Amino acid sequence: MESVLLRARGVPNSRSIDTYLAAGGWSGFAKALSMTPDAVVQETIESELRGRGGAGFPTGRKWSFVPKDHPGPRYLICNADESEPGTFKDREIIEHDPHMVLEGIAIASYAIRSNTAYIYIRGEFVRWAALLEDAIGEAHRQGWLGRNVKGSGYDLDIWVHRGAGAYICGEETALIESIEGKRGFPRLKPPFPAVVGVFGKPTVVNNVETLACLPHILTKGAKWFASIGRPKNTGTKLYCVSGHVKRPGVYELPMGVTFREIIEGPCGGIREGHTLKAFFPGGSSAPVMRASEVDVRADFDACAEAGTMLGSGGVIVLDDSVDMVETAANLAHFYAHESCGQCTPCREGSDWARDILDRIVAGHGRPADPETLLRICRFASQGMTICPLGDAFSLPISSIVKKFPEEFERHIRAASTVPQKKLPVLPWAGSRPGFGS
Amino acid sequence: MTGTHLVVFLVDGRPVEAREGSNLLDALQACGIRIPRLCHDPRVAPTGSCGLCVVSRRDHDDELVLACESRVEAGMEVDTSTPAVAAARARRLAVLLPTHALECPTCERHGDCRLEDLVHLLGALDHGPMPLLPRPPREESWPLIVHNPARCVACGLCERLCAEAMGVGAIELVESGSGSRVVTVSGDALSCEFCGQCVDACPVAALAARPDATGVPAWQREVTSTTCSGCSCGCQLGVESHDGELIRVRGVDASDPDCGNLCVRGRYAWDLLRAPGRLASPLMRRGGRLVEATWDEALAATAQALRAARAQRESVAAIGSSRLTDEDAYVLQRFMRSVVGSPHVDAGPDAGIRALVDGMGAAAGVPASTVSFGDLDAADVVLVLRGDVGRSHPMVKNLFVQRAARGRRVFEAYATAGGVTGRRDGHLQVAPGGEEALLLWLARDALRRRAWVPGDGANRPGFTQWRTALEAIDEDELAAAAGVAPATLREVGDDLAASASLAIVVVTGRGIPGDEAAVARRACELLAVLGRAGRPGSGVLVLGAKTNAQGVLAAGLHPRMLPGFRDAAAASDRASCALRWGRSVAAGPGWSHREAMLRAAAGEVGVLFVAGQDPVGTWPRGLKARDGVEGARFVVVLDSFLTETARLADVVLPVATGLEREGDVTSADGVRRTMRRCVRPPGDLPSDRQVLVELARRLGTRIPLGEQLADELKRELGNGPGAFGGVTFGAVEPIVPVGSPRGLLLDAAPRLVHASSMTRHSATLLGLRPLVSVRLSTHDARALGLEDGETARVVAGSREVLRRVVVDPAVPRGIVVSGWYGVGGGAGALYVDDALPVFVEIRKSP
Ligand SMILES: Cc1cc2nc3c(=O)[nH]c(=O)nc-3n(C[C@H](O)[C@H](O)[C@H](O)COP(=O)(O)O)c2cc1C
Ligand code: SF4
Ligand code: SF4
Ligand code: SF4
Ligand code: FES
Repeated sequence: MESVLLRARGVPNSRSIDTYLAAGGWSGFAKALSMTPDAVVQETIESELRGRGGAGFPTGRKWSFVPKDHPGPRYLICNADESEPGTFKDREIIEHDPHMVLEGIAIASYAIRSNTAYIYIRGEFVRWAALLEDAIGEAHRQGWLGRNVKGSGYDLDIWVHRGAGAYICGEETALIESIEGKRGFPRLKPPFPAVVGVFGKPTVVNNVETLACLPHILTKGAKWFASIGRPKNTGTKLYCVSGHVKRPGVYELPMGVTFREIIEGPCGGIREGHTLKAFFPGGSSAPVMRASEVDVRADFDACAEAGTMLGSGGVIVLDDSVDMVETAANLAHFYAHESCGQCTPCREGSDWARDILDRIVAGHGRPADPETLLRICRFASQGMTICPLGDAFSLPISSIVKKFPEEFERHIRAASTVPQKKLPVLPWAGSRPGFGS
Repeated sequence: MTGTHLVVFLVDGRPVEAREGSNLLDALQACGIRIPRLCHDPRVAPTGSCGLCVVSRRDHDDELVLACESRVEAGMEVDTSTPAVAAARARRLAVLLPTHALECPTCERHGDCRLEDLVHLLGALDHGPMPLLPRPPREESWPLIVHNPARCVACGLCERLCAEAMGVGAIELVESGSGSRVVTVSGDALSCEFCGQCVDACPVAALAARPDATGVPAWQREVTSTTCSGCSCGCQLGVESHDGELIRVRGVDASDPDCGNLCVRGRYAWDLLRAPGRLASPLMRRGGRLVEATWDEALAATAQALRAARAQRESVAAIGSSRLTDEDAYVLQRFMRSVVGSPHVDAGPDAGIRALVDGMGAAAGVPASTVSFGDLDAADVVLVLRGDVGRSHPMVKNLFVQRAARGRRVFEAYATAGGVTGRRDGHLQVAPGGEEALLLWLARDALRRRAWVPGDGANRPGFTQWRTALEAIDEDELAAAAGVAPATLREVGDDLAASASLAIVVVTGRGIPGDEAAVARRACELLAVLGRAGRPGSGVLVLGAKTNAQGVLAAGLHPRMLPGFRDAAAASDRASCALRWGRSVAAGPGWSHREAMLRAAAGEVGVLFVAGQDPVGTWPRGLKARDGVEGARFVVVLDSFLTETARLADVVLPVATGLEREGDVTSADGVRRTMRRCVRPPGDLPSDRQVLVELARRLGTRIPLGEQLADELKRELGNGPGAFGGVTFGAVEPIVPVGSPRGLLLDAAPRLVHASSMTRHSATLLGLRPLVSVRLSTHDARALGLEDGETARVVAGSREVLRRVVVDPAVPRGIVVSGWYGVGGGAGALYVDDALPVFVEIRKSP
């Protein structure tokens, strides 16, 4: 298959605007400027492009929710917060082809009639923030950004806004609060950002990869894009494969390949002497899959049918050396640290899940623990919380408890020989070393 | 967003009515349907964090939604207690318990904790045991407030109330996940307005007021609501007591006018009721010394003095106070006018009364405010004159915080320093007393713009002379007298011209320079030339310094006015009173407090009554109060403390005060609010009116009390101050250019913590702000070589007081702040006439 999003990987000097222009870059935006914004929206709807940020929402439809008659500014935000464990595709695009992202932003901004766009980039991505700034400078100098772009009468400015290191700020409403200078607390929806977003104005938040698809949709046409993959799951997709495969990395494949094709194809299979035990299909927030489920197709609808989700496309592969209870504990540490703390089920639930899992790992598990874990997870999911982080921590953990009960039993059986100890008392939360710190 | 019209919707199958678009949780609550909640309060925007308020939408496939995040729609169908709802609530609550310090039996909020109540109500523990993972408690002590993070449920109410309702933003939730905790924004011990809203709002005992830990469980406390007497806002206090002793004061949910938001005075001042200096029994002068006496002895001596005065045809004068209730004021004037037979009753040098009578009465024909607190919220433009309401009338400040949240501005013009909250937006720093010139400038501007409706002003009495005189003054001279640049004034003028409604707030209080009556009158004139006078939503709000300026006036505590604003000089008005009171009524007008003191000093007064005032201790020197009190033959003081006046008195009669009193008061918005006895006074002290009624009985006249008095008062007050009858224009004096002042402007205006002489007796408030300081800007302190903490002499002419220097970056350059009332002599002692600004020198103490 021809590389679309990663076509610049390996090309010398690929980040410069001249290289990009030579490869036909910025012509998608030029085409968009010759169309009406509504026609751009229509083209995107017809391409059946779905958001690559995690939820897979149809991009063109999201744009169409922006009120047409709204007076005053509206905003486009490019979500480059990329903090989902096992996900590193947006960074790859920016590394090789920052102008593709800018062009996508320009097309989307034009489509929703916005004159200001923000790139919200993960705080740790210092290098990639600088690359984007450089590219913005180039595009300004060549007249692709700024006032009256290429004589079209359309103005556009793009600002890079660096985050401060919170996973939750990838969630679109927390991201919006963060841009407004507040603590990243997700907002209740509705109202959706398309109606009330940043600074109270209509706002569309799109992922880097989603936006990077747009120049190609405009130059090659919606039909071309829709012809890749399966109906409703169109286009190419970047799969970030990590874990126990021979060649981890980012691979661009048509939507709808199976996970087996990904793992055994470009990744070269599981490392020598081991077999596949489990994998997370779409970042750590997706329910885990057993080795026997490896023939499921890696697209939005097939994953949903299989009870999991494609999420960000971060495929985390675990072989038979892995202890699933420790895996669950590892996840729980991450989410307990990253829960924003607004909703009780998420704040308290992720905290307990971590403590209980730590206890099992430490050899003090109790027979009732798996049941308690499932209960905690049930309490934090099913729309019990403001944002989906409640689901993001509870679904993978409960899926591990349900799919690998024997591993929990083994830990707990071994623990029964240990005399019952007093429960660990949590150190006061404020001084507790966090995950990764 | 919220519509005004009522719609009907179904709750559990029964029709319920509420305003369309209003918050569903608040609407259900208002209909008496109790929905569990931990994180919502009508005063702040919902966040939906606790998830307990879930209800089911029958009309949306039984979808579970958060009530606090939903809005009322016509025809919506809501179920509040389906099994799915109950299960969701119980689960959401259950997750809170394992890490909460479950120490209910020993917790000071036991029986008064929303979490505890909800656990029982929702059966949160029915889902089986949850692991117990308690965090070790860690207590943090702030002034007045104790923070116990182990009990915090991270609902965020404290943070949101502090920022959104009070505009302070002193505390915040930080960190994420289970590390979420409440800290002070400064990182140091809490330093804020100490309004205590965060403590009220905390659903658990994570924030507690220090006095909460009394050991009396919630269910044994009696809760009485009463009206605060800390200022003229009329906030409603929820007073918890046990066996007549005060436990604590809380806000009353959704109360008028304060919405449950109190200020530091209303909440924390009340330990003054049990202050060591509180009088519990009468005192009498014997052998030159004041000694304790029985009630019978003290009253007999007083009655005797009154009989002697009558026999010797000596005058009797009474000075009451706008701190008295309607009933007390009414009985005092009736006692004087019909029992003693003297027309000399007054409420003292009360700035609120002056603004009402000589300002509003003269210009608008009614000695009352012509807009309500609600109008401050609704008016297009609000103009506040003479002082920061954040210092003097904190409840009004809260209204402005809400206005600001909706992006609506308030123009404030005053010469003194701003308050703690420091909303500097729209503040014009005027010259001391420059507000009158400012209003005249704006009136001229309005005349020029022709934005005024001729019919509304031109045919009013005094208009032509007023206009001629005003136009004879040079505009720039007016701006100079106001102390504001003409360009800035023009901007204000633009806003006034463009507005459909204008509310002008006149702040009064001791230590605010300038003539409050003139300012009120100019405010009325400005409204008239703008064509807004008498229009709904436009008008003047006079914020009296003390509780009840409007009420005591209506009750007749004024040398020129009988109850119901009748004329004390008119024989017919007196005759109708005489008919109802069964005795003749002394012919007015009586003496003002100033004249009474002068006459007393000249030896013309036989008996001087002083009720609820300390003329010697607190009046400006020019009123010669000490000479008057020393010159009167016999002085009777009714008070709760041994004031400086009381020390010179012949008889001191102690009375109930504050939360011990009952009766009605009329707040600045003209609404009558009720005070109820919440706390037993020491020695079961009587009220002022009980003392006076007993004196009247000893002099052979019956004045009713209780229900009968209340009925009578209702009839006497009639229909209130009457309707606004069009503006009468006053004289305009030419501007006398003031020489540039020497020294620093003394700001003795009301302060948030100490706005009256009463708070001097509250150890709690003195602990927060001791009354011994002079605060000055960093710049001035440096220029004068003064260090924080050193003692300095504050000198005005031949007078001086000693104060401790506090360098305060919040104080503007050129101003020094020192309270009128102080411990060991306040800065009020430096004033001769409180209308004139005082400039002081600060000298190093040798
Ligand atoms: C906890 C959480 C973290 C998220 N992090 C990211 C992220 O790092 N990058 C991203 O693009 N979307 C992230 N999302 C999804 C965004 O909320 C949003 O749906 C997405 O940016 C929309 O873009 P799309 O329509 O292009 O997919 C996250 C969502 C949640 C709930
Ligand atoms: S679900 Fe978790 S991360 Fe999301 S808003 Fe609630 S507490 Fe914050
Ligand atoms: S201290 Fe009280 S009000 Fe503040 S967040 Fe904690 S529980 Fe809520
Ligand atoms: S604002 Fe005035 S009435 Fe309200 S609590 Fe404070 S002192 Fe009392
Ligand atoms: S009260 Fe509605 S979510 Fe807390």
